[in-house]
Amino acid sequence: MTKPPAWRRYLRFWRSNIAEDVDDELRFHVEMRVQEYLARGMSEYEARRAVTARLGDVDAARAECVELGKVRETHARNADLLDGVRADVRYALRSLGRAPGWTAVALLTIALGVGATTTVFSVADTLLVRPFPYPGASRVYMARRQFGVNGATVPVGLPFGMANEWRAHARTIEAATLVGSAGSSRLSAGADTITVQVARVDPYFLAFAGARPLAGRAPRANEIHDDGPGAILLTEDFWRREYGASTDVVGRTMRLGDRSVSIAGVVPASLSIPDFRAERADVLELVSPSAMINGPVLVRLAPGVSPARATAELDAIMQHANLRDVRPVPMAMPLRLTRPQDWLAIRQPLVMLTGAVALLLLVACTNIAHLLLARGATRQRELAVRHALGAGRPRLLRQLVTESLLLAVLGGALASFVGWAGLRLLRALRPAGRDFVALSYVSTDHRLLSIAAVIAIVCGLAIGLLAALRIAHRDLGASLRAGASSMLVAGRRLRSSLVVAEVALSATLLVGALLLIHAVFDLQRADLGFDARGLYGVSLSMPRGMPPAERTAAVEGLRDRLAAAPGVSSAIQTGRVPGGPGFTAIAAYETPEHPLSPQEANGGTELYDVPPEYFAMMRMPLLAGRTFDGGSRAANEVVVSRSLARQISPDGNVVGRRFRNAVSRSRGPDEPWQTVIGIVPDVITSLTSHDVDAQLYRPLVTTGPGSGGNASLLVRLSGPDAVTRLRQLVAPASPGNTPAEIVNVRDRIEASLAEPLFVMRILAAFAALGVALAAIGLFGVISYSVGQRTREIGVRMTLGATRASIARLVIGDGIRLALAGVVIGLLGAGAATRLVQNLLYGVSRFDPFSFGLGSVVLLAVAFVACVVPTLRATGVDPVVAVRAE
Amino acid sequence: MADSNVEVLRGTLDLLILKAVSWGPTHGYAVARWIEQATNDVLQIEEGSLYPALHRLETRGWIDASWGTSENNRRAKFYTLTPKGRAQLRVEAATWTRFAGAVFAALEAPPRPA
Repeated sequence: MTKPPAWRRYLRFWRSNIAEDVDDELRFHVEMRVQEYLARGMSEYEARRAVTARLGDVDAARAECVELGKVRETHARNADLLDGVRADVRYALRSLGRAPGWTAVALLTIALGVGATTTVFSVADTLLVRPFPYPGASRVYMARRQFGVNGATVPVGLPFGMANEWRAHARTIEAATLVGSAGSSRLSAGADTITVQVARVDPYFLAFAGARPLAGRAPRANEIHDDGPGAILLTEDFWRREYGASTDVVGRTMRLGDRSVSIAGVVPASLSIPDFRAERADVLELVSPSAMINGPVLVRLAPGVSPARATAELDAIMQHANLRDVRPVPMAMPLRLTRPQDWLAIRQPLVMLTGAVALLLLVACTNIAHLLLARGATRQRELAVRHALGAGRPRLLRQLVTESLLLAVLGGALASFVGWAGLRLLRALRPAGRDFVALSYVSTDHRLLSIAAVIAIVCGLAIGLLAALRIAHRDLGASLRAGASSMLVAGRRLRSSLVVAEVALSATLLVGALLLIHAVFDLQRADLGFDARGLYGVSLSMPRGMPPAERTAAVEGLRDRLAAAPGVSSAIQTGRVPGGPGFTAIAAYETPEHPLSPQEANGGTELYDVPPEYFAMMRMPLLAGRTFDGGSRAANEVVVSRSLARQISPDGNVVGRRFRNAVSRSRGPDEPWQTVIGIVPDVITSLTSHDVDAQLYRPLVTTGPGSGGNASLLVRLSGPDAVTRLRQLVAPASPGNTPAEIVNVRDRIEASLAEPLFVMRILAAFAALGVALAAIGLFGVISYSVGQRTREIGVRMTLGATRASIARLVIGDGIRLALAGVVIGLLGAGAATRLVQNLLYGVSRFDPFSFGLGSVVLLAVAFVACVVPTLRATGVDPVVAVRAE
Repeated sequence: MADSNVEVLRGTLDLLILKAVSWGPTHGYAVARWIEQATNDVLQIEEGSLYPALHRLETRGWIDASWGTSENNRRAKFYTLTPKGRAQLRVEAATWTRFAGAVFAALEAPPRPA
């Protein structure tokens, strides 16, 4: 179809009466025919009759013509609309293309702002908002107990077999399943051994999660026993990777750790393993519902039951069940039902990052608003001309909104790419082995795209409309008249407040990032209380049933070989490696003079069984008293850390004093008194958690029934490739199936920094982006105002103003705006950081370093942003400037 | 005579209209006149059906309409052939010629051998 010329569409404005047109056309026909017949000599009456006869059913014809006319009009209107949009888009593209620099900055701003938001929102959407993909997901809760220590809330597992009791007796729940913590273990078939991640679940788990095995079958509850051979399920990914998706593996017998297991089946990749979605498990080990596993129980509430009602019933059943407890302490440990995702350690940092990225998005939006206004101001003339040529205000408005929407769509496309890349980057940078593994569950699919699209379009539309209204609202005629600068003042004020807002938002972001950087910096330099240089822990896992004498010989043999090896300065056996796993006692310390009730427990104490030479090896100074000797064990002599000494007696002067743990005493009445023989400094074994800072050292027993299943050695190395040598020495000495674990003590303690470091890096990136955007905004405003005031500057210079005073004028403007922004931003930061206090690990949220540095950085950046406009202002040639207008 | 003509015309009216407007802007009355004259008055169309046919063709985009002034200075609606209509005219004319030739050949054919 040929396109009618554009002007044609205006015809219909005064020619839209279809019925009249049809009548006109038919009337014309009749008149012509009548004239023809008259010319042939008929009388007027005859002619009219003949014409009417020839026409036939004229009413039907007329009706059909009108109907067709209406159809055509609808088509035309749609085509016009499409035409108009197409013209608008074409015009918008052209006008964006005319200002490539401006367009690039605007697109980059949208891409980065919306892209970063998309990344964080996708993560938050998956990990915080969307529940586990289980049937009746909105009714799935995780049951745990918790108790408070030193103001911190510690989650505790349930008594063993709780899931069974609830399944049998609770009416408020539909289903319950025990899920255990995952760990790494060795899976071997013959000589072939690989390390696998194991999650433990009871046989009810698959039905609970609504999953069916891909191959094989899920064992029933009565087929699972915790002693003897066990059963495992492979996850699909692991099955494909290791066994090429062969169904032959089902039924095969293997060894998992030191247990014989058979492969019962394969579970689909879509099954979410509930270890807080933290580890991607390779293997599900099936355990009986009453297994001694310190894990939570997942429950699905019956429809219509409130969590509070379920909690009450489940708690009552738990109190009366009289089951063996994971942690027998005489303290109230209320049952809590929480949403599974609430246990994610990533939760709070993620909430904070969501807040931070929202600030960043605001900065980006402000910047775009800015850019649009600045552009609107320079296009004032163009718009005024188009207005004068007949383009109505609504038409111009539509044009401007089209432009910002087009910008939003293009920017959104870039942003979804940035968001996708950001997610990939987050995954690549995520700390290993922590809760952040959950990041790998975040999908990069259409959800991400739609998040990006929604953010971009909503922001684009809102800002575009605002800016367009602002621009089109002005007296368009006025800008045609030369020197109409009075109306520019109002625009400048709006743009100035936008810049202040931008600087304020980025100041808040920057101060937040600096606070976290300060916190991490402090943590990294924390004094551990011992010398960790070259210190390695070696953990040997002893096979079950190994005779004690053999075990002792193996461990001592290795210790002596290590001690004699070159590059090893000392090697000792110890019951626990600092920072490693071990027993923590909940304690209320009483003395013979000052008895305590077990309910007065106010903290945990790490228990260390160590040989006499431990303190020298760790290079821990003995603050008072002496260390162990041969008779220490029999005399119940202990060494305590400084905090523990203060818990026993406020003056900390406790050498020679007797004490015991009231909590232990409440369990066994003949809990002996212990005598303090020495005091050593506190040792920091987790940089981020100070829940436990007291240590109790007892003499190590290396022989007899008291020596545990695992043995640890502590080795101090020197020299460059000492670690390699250590590995070579340890590997052949490891008894059983499980290899020895070698860890750097410092690294293990610093591993707790991975999370704050990760969050800090992201926040720092956001802050940098925010500051950059604010700088662009400031630069834009100052440049613009210099451009507007060229004449004024020219006049000033003619009247004798020096270049220095002009520079002061321009930079003063910029700094004034930045200063206002910084002040507001600091106030904002002071309020916002209240929400993230416990992510700061002891750094005050009013930390003067962070606030001070943040202000200085922003003011410096503001100064730099003003340099180019200032140079331009001082370069104004007064003669040219004054004559130009 | 008129009744049988109408039946024939129903299928071919579109083709005749396209042909009628193919030389330039033409109003409805002129279309009717041209059909009469070109067919030596053999085909007299029922004029009531002419206008819906014109409007149908316009809706399909085969002809284009605009208001103008007639030879006797009256406001009239003029129709012109669009490129799409011209293509359609070519196709339909060819079809019709083939069809008519076939029918004519059949009528002229010698009697069926017994």
